[in-house]
Amino acid sequence: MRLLPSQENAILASPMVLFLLALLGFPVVLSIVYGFSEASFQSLMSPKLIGFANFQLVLQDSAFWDAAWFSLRFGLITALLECVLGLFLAVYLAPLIRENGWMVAVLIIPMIVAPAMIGLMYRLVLHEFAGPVPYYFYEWLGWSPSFLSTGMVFKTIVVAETLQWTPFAFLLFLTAYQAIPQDIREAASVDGTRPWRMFWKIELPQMMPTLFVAGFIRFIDGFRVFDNIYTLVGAGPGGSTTSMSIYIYETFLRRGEIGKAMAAAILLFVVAFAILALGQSLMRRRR
Amino acid sequence: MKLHLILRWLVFVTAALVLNFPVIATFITALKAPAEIARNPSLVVQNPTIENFVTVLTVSDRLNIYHYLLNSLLSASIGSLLPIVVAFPIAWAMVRRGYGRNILFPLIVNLRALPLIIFAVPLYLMFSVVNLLDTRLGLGLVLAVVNLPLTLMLLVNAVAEIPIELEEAARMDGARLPRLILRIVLPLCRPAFITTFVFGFITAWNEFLFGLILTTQKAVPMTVGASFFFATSGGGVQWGVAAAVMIVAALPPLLLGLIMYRKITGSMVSGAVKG
Amino acid sequence: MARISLRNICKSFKGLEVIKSVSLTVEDGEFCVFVGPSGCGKSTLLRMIAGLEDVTSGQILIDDENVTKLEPFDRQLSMVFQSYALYPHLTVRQNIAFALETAKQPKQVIERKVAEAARTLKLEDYLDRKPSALSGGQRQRVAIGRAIVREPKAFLFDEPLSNLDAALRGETRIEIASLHKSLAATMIYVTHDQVEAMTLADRIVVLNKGEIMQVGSPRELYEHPGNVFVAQFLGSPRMNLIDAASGGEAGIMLPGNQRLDIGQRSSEKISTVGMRPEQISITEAGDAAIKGTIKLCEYHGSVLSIIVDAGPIGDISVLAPSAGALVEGARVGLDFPADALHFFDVSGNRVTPSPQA
Ligand SMILES: Nc1ncnc2c1ncn2[C@@H]1O[C@H](COP(=O)(O)OP(=O)(O)OP(=O)(O)O)[C@@H](O)[C@H]1O
Ligand SMILES: [Mg+2]
Repeated sequence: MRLLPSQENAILASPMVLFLLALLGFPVVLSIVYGFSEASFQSLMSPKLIGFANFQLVLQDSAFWDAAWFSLRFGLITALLECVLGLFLAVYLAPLIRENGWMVAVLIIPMIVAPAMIGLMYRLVLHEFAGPVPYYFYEWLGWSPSFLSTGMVFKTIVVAETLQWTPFAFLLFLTAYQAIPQDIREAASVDGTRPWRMFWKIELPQMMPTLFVAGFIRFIDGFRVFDNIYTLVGAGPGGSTTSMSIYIYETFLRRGEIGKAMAAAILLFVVAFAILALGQSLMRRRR
Repeated sequence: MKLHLILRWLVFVTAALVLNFPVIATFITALKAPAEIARNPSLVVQNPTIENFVTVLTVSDRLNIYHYLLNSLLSASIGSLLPIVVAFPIAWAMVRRGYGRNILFPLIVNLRALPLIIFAVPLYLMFSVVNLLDTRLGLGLVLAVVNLPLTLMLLVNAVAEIPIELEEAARMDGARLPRLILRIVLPLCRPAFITTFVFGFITAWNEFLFGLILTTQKAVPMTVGASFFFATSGGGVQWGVAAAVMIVAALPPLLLGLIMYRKITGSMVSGAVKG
Repeated sequence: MARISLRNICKSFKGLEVIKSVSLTVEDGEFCVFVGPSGCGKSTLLRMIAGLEDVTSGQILIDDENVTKLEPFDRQLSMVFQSYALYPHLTVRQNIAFALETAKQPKQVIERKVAEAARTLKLEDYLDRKPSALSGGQRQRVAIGRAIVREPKAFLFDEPLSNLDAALRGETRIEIASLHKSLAATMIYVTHDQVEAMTLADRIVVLNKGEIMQVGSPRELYEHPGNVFVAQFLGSPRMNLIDAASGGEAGIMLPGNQRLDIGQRSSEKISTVGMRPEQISITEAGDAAIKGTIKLCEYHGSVLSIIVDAGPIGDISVLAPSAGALVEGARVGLDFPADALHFFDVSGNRVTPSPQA
């Protein structure tokens, strides 16, 4: 039997296509059906079509908008902090790392630990009786903030997220930095360029594309945050740490409002997709 | 020059301590006896003990960590091997035949950036229909979806790196497609398979959201199981045991990651930059 | 063994025409070399014969069977690649045996053939090594071994020697030549090295910009180049070309109103005269047809490579025995036999002046 190339291609593609259809195709249909239906866990099998009511419900829910604002703020702030810190570490430590490759391994450990685990670890570390952080605050300053209180919790999770994912930005910048041809640097330094000027005028411009990529990826990841916040504080005091992901989770599993959760998920999909498309077209234009 | 060297070392040590602080502090706590934790929350252990680890690793009514470890092991294995199996053939077709390069490839790669919760809710509904809720297979399948985008990307890169002449030589040697792929392309992709597998395994092991939503008991993975120890039952959280649980839970990906950190960092960077 | 015919082969890459209607027959057992400058389409033509590249239009026949649409694995040809393309994950033995295993030949047959090829190519000691543990020359021989065990209808080579150093290249060239003799196989060989082309070929095909400029034995091409391109492409240093015009009865006129006697032959149509550097000898200025001053004199050991500034005629390169004592700046004359001259018309094609009536 002789197969045409197009038939061969179809055969090669089939495992993945079937896999995706089974695991994503069906759920997509479900999302749409339930997004436009009224359903709870009791009436799961008999959804009642109600048109755009769920979307209306979501869009009128102030908690949804709070969650959206929270995710946006969280994503932007953490991405910015991670990029600044990561860039500093990469550029400042690069000469040291050239001789000590293992340092990279030490600095990327946080990324290999599950974010959910990190969240749990902070519960311990920040605990007012068992945690070392409050202990040292009392020991040295005689006073300690309550890290998970309404006023502090946003800062706490921003710090937790930043410390875990700065290594990611660091890694991208380090790779980009090391990829700058050495002769460019040498040529510049023969021309009498000082280190600080070298960074601003020569190295940073070369790393600009990476800066955008890293910032974008970190923003997306911060925007969709769930694990570490959920394990550390859940929805937070008074729902103050409800990200988009947590909002949908709570709507769905806690409150059993399936239709509303689906509608919110669809909205989130649209928003995420728009951000992605925008980010990618921006990046493509810069190249 | 000398001063800068000292400063750089200082920055490195500080960064290493601060970034890894939660892990370090948890490990130190795990070495303290319960009585000491209440007395001494500092980072200096007075009487180091492995008591907590013994408790954690001993099977008891209250706690069977092996159950969670096994669940994680199996579902993460499915979740990292399955995407390689399904993505490899099409990765070849994408590179050598340009098949699906323009639509399918970007579509799948972009899945990676979507919030997972979007899939979680409909998958829950679907799994409840097909009876995959709270099964290792079900969790493994979902983790495979999570890993698919990066796997496809890494495999596409790997196939693209095989010199085309090798495949041409094989075709001249009479090899048809199945033999070409099985005897030439597949063996040459082996390093990429290993990297992809390790990366996928770590990602799958560390996944939390799907474990939380799609499992309740039988298939609960380690990440979710660990959080149970913080649900205060009766006498409050046993911090030493909880700390030991977290260390044990974090250890498999940590070991894999540190052994293969060069490969892992490489795939992270190429995954990020090419996406 | 087989005869390979190309009929009006054309090839375009995205509308860019790379091969323009090539027709050619390579006879059974013939060693045919494609030469031409870089980018002229040699590899493309070879890859079309191999089946690795689609043909835009035209036909390829092997032993009168139309194989134009067949996949490479159905054409039963072997190819040796410039990069050798050895399978890095297989040992030398497995590399050589790969095609035989693909063809599902019996184990003993495979073993015997591999052993035979290894003996021919002096690879016996390396059979269990991976290609990465071999030198360039050994890799090259494995690539050839992989090609010969299959006993293909024809061998295709794409610049197989270009990754070897000069000494090894010479040796391997001789090995390939003797291989061709002992196998009596049809071989098509692509190179841009004219020494390889001249020494190996039964027939040379000179290509330029996707077109065949001339086909013939090395001697034919060298002694009777069909056009200016071939005349200049073969031979080193290149053939001297001098603008010329017909001088009627008086032979031909060179720039600077220099007259050149070409015997009792018609000088019509001639617009260029060519002469090979080694056929020119240096004489006293005296009454030589062309005179000039030595501008550059390079010592090459066995010969001197000289450039003579012949005034309005331009620079003329000359190869002279190194025994003579020539100095730069000396005034000399250039002498050459009348039958050493090549004549070309306005469009660059060879013209043979007919005897005058
Ligand atoms: N896949 C391709 N796509 C587009 N153009 C191509 C492709 N392959 C070859 N070409 C073009 O076709 C022309 C002939 O290429 P080919 O490789 O046959 O040249 P060649 O004679 O083998 O040169 P060289 O001596 O450098 O190997 C070149 O101009 C090349 O740019
Ligand atoms: Mg070529």
